[in-house]
Amino acid sequence: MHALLNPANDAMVAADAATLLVLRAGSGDARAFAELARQLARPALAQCIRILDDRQLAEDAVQEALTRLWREAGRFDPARGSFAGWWRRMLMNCALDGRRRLRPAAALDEAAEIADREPTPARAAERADLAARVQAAAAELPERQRAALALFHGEGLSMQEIADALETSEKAVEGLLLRGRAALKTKLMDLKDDMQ
Amino acid sequence: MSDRPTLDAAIAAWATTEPAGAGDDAALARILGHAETIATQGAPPAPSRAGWFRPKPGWMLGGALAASFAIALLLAPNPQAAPGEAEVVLASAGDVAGGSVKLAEAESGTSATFALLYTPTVEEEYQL
Repeated sequence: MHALLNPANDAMVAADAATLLVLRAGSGDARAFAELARQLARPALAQCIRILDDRQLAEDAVQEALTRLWREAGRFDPARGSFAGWWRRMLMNCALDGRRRLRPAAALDEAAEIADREPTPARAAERADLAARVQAAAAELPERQRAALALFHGEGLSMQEIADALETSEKAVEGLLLRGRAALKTKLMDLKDDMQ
Repeated sequence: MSDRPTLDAAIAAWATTEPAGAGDDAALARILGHAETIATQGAPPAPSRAGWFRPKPGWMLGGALAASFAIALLLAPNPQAAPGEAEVVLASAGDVAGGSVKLAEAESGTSATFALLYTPTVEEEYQL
């Protein structure tokens, strides 16, 4: 067990460790699940904030996804796909839950304010500023477009992997990316950005 | 060519930079506390698919009976008028005519319905 919990730099080893943890969680091992949750929570929260543009909604989505992960861990079958893909799909499903969309999202100004609130290291300041401007512009995009853009540009997933995560077709993902990109370009131009 | 950021670079920066709030210790603590609570106090994980689909004789028998009943209902013929009802209608028609009017014997189903709804023309009435 302790061998599994050592931090691993190699992504493959980390993925294998996550797979082993979810298999143990599936058999009712609460400690394995707690460790898995500890590994997943932060990146999941970051992704959900990006997509939902609201910290509270993002926190709710991650909690719901982890609850579902615990309940369905016993159904995970490594032979049918990777744990990363399985978890990503679960997380996107919770983040894009239609009921959550009924709640108002943060306004554009608020989104910019949220993104600027936390200080960043000097070397990453310019990049963070750019990210904050995109975040503010992306606040008005539909959540599915934001999700597709985040998965494509952030995680470098293929169209098929994004389609699996969003439970849609590759063509639909292509459309989401094109529309999202076009809308961002327009919005960033409106903000007197120098995007080419 | 300037070194202005391209749109792709801007989107990539957004998608890879951790947004403010993702490192919020209080939020992460709440999430992990919730996860620990459901793991220690909540329902246990659902069994695997292989264990989930186990044929249960009781359920299978009940299902077979329900399916048979549903098929029998679907294949049953249309409800027919009871013989007593048909006699009442014929008798009242005879009373209205004031004489002994004898209608053609109504068959079952749509023919009977047609016979009861059909209004004879004046000539037909005269011949009757």
